[in-house]
Amino acid sequence: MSLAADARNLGAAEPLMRIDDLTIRFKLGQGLSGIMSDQPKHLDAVDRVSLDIRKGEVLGLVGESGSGKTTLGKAILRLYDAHQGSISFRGTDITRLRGSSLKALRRDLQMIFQDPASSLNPRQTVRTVLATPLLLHRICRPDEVDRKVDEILTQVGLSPTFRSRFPHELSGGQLQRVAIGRALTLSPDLIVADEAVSKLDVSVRSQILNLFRDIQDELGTTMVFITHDLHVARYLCHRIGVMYFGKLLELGPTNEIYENPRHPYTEALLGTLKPTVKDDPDVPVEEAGEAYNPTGETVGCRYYARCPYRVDQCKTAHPPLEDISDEHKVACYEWRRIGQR
Amino acid sequence: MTEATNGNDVALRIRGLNAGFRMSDGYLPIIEDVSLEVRKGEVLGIIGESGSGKTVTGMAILHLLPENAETKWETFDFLDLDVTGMDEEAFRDLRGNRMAVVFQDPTGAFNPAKKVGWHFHQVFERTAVKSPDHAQRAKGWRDAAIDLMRDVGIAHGENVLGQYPHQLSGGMLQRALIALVLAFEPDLILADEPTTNLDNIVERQILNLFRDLQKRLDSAFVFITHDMTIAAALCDRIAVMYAGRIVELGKTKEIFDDPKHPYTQGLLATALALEEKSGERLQEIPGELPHPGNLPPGCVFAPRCPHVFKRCEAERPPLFHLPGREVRCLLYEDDDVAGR
Repeated sequence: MSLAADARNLGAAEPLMRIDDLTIRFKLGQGLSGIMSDQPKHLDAVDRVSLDIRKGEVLGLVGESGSGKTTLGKAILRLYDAHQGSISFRGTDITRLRGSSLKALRRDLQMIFQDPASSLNPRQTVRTVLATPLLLHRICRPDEVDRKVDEILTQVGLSPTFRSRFPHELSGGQLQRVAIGRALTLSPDLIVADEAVSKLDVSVRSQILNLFRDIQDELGTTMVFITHDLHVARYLCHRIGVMYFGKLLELGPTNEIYENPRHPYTEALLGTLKPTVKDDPDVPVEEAGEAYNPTGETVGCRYYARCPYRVDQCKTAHPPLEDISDEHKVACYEWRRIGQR
Repeated sequence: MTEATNGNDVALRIRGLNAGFRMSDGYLPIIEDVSLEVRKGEVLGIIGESGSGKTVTGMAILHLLPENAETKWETFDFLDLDVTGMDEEAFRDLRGNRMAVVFQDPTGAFNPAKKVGWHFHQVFERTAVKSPDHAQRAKGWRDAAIDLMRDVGIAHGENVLGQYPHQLSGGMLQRALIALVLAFEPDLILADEPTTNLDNIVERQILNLFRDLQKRLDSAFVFITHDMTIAAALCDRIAVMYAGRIVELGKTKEIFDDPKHPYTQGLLATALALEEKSGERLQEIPGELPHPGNLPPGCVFAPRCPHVFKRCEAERPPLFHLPGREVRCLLYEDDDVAGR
């Protein structure tokens, strides 16, 4: 089953989650200098992003550090409050949910973090880690918990003997398996995985990537996979969104993004993928211009300073996300000149 | 710079390095029987996963291991010096003047309370004793520093000199650190995962910078990394480490074209599988790295090895010498051309 065919089939379905014009704003300068100055500074870590997440897909969010991909991932789970815009889940607006209805929502949305060593309680055994959500949400009767825990362990490729182990007794790969198991205990509708394989060694990373793939094939869980690693994104994701300083610059099916990138930043990022061998002629890499200052008053395209294709229009306003085909969107005035390889 | 290869070419030669740590519950051996050579102007890559002992090897060479470490050498030659039994004070001088290290996290290499310019000043002062030229350069250190920063792609060096480390981005700081290393003109540069914390585009730029640097300097260069593609782009020769041992050593291209050790084969296959376009399932190396306190009795890779046979589980294989290659695997016992 090819990824491209998958993405097309999914296109028809109603989105599981719809993010509309979402802004996540952080206040800055709360210290002395901030109090003294007249203009309170702020940073829009996610800046008016609109995006659909379709049922059953793996959506990749790629970008470098500071691109806002993690903030967006956490906002989806309602771990940050929206400054502007809305998030709806299964057709219901969840942007301002509070109290018990928010708690109920948590059951359907789960997260897997980068560093399992710090996201698991060092004083809890694997059994406690996996059993707590089952009991808390009354998924199964107390006398069934052990059977269910074993079931989850098997699913993530660990033997039931791991039940009584503590996190410090496990290796990085095993810990990440437990973290994945914990996210699966509640059979969530959506899992956000934030750099879930970045800290793992090469030989273990393949194991965990295969596990993600197996889970996806078997359960069809919708996932948002946040990564800076373009190889990982290509392997696992049906669609990819490229982020840069809070903006979604390009969105499309994985093959389309890799074969036919239409944003200069995507093109530059993909340029870093080409394997080089010593003594090959150097691949020209764009010289880093001064990057965009997210707290400044600059208008215009976020990528302006580093862009080799820039024109005067780019200084006026950040380009809107434009449909260039049914599935492929790009935020660049000059996309027609780009990526015709 | 293109001298004929002879014995004097070797900047660093290590034979039989063993290192470990004294722990509360006894001695924990980390690396065993590590031998390597780096010639002037050459880049040797040490690659391995976390826990393979690559960083301990690097820090042992620089005598920068913590207090509870124990190291033993058969031979440790640096340039024309025998440093095997050198006392710490003499070694500190050597390290300060002729060896440099670039760490993964450049922020740790700078004093956060001092401006970038202060760091340059320190280096120029310290190297002033090397020669009258160096002394002259130390007087005009500001201009010299700005020149060096231009070499590493920092356009406005004069501004950077007046800034504190926290005001610079990770990529800029790594560049500034490399400029410091340049100022220092060391005979040995050891870089430990210097691009791992950087974003893809910046990583590529810093890598190109290292390539450029290596062409210009005649230093011996040891590059420690877990990333096969980075090693391929930069290194002349590669030593692959696993569980504290060098399992394979040879020319980069030859290792990539024809990996001998089953671990190297697995590592390359997994690393390259992600780069292929096909949506096939990734090849895995099953299992996990062994804990250094609980190594298997035979070959350390035996529990994960697809070619394992009976003797592997009982014998620690020595390093076999093949033409242009060293491999620590019993499969190549018959190909051994010269025992040491």
